[in-house]
Amino acid sequence: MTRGPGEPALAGAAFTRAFPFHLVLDDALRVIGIGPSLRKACPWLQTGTAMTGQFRISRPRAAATFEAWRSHVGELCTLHGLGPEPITLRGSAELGDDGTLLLLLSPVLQTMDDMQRLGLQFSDFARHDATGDVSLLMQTARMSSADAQRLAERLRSRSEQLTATLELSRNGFAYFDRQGLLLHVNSALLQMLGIARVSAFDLDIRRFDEWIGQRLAPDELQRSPLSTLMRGSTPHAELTLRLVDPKPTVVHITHASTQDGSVVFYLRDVTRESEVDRMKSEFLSTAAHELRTPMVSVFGFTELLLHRPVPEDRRREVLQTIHRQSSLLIGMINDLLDLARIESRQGQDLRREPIEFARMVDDTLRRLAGATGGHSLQVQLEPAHRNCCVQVDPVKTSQALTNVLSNAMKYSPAGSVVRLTSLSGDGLLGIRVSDHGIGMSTDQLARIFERFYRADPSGSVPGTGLGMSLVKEIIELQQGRVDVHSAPGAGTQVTLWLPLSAAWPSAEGQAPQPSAHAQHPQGPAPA
Amino acid sequence: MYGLVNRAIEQLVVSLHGDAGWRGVCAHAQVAADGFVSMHSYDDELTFRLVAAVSTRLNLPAEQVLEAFGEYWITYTATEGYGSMLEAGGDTLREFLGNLNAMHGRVETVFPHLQLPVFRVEDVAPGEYRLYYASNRSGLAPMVIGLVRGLARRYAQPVDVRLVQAKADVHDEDVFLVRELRA
Repeated sequence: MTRGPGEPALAGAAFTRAFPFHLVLDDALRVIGIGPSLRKACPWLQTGTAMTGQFRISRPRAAATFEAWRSHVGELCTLHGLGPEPITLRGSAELGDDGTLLLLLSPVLQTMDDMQRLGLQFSDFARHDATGDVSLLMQTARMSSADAQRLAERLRSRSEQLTATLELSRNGFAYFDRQGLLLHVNSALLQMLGIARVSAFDLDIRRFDEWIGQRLAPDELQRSPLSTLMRGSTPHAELTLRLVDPKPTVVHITHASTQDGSVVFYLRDVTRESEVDRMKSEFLSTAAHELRTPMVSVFGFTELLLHRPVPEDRRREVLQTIHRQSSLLIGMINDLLDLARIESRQGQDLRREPIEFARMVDDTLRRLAGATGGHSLQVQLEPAHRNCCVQVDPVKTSQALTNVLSNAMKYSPAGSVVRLTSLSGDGLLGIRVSDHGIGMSTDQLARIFERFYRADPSGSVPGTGLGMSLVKEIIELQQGRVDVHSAPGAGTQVTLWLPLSAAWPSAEGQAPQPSAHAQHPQGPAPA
Repeated sequence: MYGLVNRAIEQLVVSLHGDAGWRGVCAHAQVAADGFVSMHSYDDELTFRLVAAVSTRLNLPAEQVLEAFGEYWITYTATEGYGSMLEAGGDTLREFLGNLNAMHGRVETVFPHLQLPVFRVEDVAPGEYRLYYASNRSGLAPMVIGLVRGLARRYAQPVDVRLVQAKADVHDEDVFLVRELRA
């Protein structure tokens, strides 16, 4: 065979470098030459032996003789090694100048592991042979798949953490993508806006905005609050809106946009804060009014004494009025100061000590003597409780009991009976004050401990709305509890549960009857 | 730098100081702790921020961190992903380093977005050779020392490796002298 100019010829080491997996066959298809890399991968190959006994030939078909191979020169050939390690070789058949048959082959490898199994390295391949690269790609695909699984798992875990965090919040979050589709929403928001979880993801940002707009109080000017927020000139614009549905709520809305155009809305229920603000304003107005009334009286009577001649008997009466009004003023101011101090010191000012239960009650009643407003006080302490010791600040606890008794007398008809009974349970000793007064509705009862709240808004019953707040602060800061039961027209029962002194055996141990908690779901029964 | 490098830094920190330690490093480097995709190409600056954060938080010089990381990288790649590829690189440390350029050449053509360094080996004496390292990144010579140490351990061939000529304006390669020690 002759070669023209520019037609390359390879021989020796150059041929071996270019085709390290070659196979040379004679005219009887006996193996007479093996490339070094093929020998490394198939150490079982033998020269001088027929190739057909060492390989199964799947292409070309019917290539059992040299003549048959001659008709397939240049075509794809595929051989499968019959040695102990499976190997597939792919290439083409060519005729050599010397009449031999050259099979220019390369192993078919799926993975790097196949290379390892056959004991091959990158240096065993011709530089132009991409077989190793395929293995590299396969390996990379496997790694990428593992990466995807690892990152997806991490993302799932992170997502769970964030969801758990957001679900703990009482404030609402809604996250929309740049197309305005809802991506995430927490339960607080769904509850706040009365949206069922199953239909939440049917709402895009526009419909979500409409949903809120339809639930606003009639006098709210905003009808598309979210759109208004997003149009705002500042990045963190905010709005406070009043909703009437699913329940009256004041909601503060802020939002933020992310770099990818998503937007998150944060809805905070500020109903209580708004109510507290309103109540504080109301209190200031009430307190000013309450302080002004006795002050005007004091001012008027002192002016009378200063500028007009007043007979001696009348003078004394005027001075008594001034004294009484001044006392009222001092009492109100003391209540305010007490509450402020207890709140700021969180009970650190309390001087708790063991004190006999009956003594604490008796001391309180003694101080009230003459100030019962014509009510009859009936005291029925369980004998077993009388000598029990409670661990309390005697002065503050007595003040709390006085406030409860004072309320019982203020809100029940003159001459009616106010009962004091004792009871025990849960390691606590209770003093219960029961009246037959006007009682309270469920709504009033729910707010009884709210600061500045008064069950009687008419103002006909004197008071600042601080008494029961003080009671609750004083008792609970001493690890006690306050229970209140009431119904309109049926009177009120207030029980102050006080902790027993650690040095004292439990009152249940002494009391003849078991704890009433188990018998009465609403609380312990009177002893 | 490709993600596998950043991921190896993560694995090194986690192996020393747990997940919390890694989150601390990420917070320090102002990098999200969400993880890296091995074959994705990340900005080099991110990798250098991570190394600087590890250096500050572990109170170690950056060179020491890079060296430790290089050694760990070999251990890590051997166990996760490219172990068989390392196997395919050669039967001895010298052979592996000699084949490294050809291997990088293959990787580079398959993943053209990766910028891989160029290595060459020059024999000085039996069991002693110079390793030349050229990269368009700077400051990674300590990592190469760690990599060679990691490889040496993999091939159970104790070596002494040191930088004998640092890359400078007049040299575009770092040069390391590797001496094989008797096992």
